[in-house]
Amino acid sequence: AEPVNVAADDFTIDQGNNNATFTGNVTITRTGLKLWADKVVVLYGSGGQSDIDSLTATGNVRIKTDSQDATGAKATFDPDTLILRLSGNVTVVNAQGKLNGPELTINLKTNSSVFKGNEGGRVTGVFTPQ
Amino acid sequence: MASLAAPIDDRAALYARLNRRNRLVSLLRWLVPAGGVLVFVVLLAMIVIDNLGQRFGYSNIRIDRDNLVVETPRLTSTGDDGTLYALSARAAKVAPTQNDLIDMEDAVFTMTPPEGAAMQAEAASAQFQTNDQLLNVPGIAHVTSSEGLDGTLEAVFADLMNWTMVASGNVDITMPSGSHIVSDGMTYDRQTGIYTFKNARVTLVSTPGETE
Repeated sequence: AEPVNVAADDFTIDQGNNNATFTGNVTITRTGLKLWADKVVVLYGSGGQSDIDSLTATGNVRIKTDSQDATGAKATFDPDTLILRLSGNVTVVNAQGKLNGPELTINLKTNSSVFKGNEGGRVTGVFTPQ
Repeated sequence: MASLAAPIDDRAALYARLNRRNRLVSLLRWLVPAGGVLVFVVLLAMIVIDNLGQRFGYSNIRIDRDNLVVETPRLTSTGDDGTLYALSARAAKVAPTQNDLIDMEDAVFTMTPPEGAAMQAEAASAQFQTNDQLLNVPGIAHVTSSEGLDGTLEAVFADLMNWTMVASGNVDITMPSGSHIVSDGMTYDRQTGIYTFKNARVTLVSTPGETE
C-alpha cells in the first residue's frame, strides 16, 4: 500500500457533513506523483474518515509524475478506479514536448496516463512510462 | 501604712489584669481553630453548592498551608444530549482567595456520548474554573477515544459550557483509520462537529481505494 502525505496551511474536518477540506498551499505526495492545488475537498462515505468517496482539487492544480508535468483547473480522484483526472485547459509537458488538451487521466493502479486531445476528444497521446 | 496598702492595691490590679489576659488566651485557644474550621466549611459549602447541578465526590479534604486540598475529587455532569462528562484528579487545590479556581494534579476528563466514541483526556496538571466551566491545560494533554484515536495536544483551553476547545501548541494525533495528523494548533467545536488544524501535515496509511 502506498502512503499518501498531504500538507496544507489549514485542514478542516466537518464531521456533521462528512467531508474534510485542505486550503492554502496544498500538496499531496505519493511515490512517483506530486499534486499541488489551492484547495482540496475530500468527501467521505458512510464509513467515515477511512471511507473516502472522492477527492477534488481546484485552483492552480499541478500534477507532476516521473514522466510528465501537467497543469489544469481541476483534478478529481476516484478511489473505486484509482484514476486521477485533470481537466480544464490542461497543459502537459513531457519528453515529447508541450501539449494542450481538455483532459489528462492518470491511472495510479497501472501507472499509465491517457491524454485526450482537442479535436473531438480523439486520443492524441498515450504515455506509458518505461 | 498607706504605703503598705498601696502595694496591695497594685497587686490587686495586676492580678485582675492577669485574670483578664488568661481569660482572653483561653478564649483564643478555641476561637482560632474554630475560625479555621469555619473558613473550611464555607469553602466546602461553596464548592458543593456551586456544583449541585453536577455530582461531586472526593475521598478526603484537608487544609494545607492556606489551601483547601481535595483528594481524588470527581465531578460528573450530564449534558442536554445525554453525554456524560466526568472530571477527576489525584488531587485538587483551592486557594481561599480564589475559590472558583481549582488546580488539579493528574487530571482526567472523559466525555461519553449516548452514541459514538467516548473520548478521554489526561494531563499532569490542569486548572478548572468552576463559574464559567473553563478547563485550562498548560502542558500536554494525552487524548484517546474508544474508537482508537490516540494523540497529544499541547496548551489546551476548553470551554465546557459552550463546548469549544482550542489547542494552541503542537498537535499529534493518530486517527482510528490510521491516518496521522500533525499540526501547529487545533480547534474543535462540538456543536458543529468541526475540527480545524493549522499548518497541517496528514499521512494516509495507503492511497484511498488501494486494496493490497
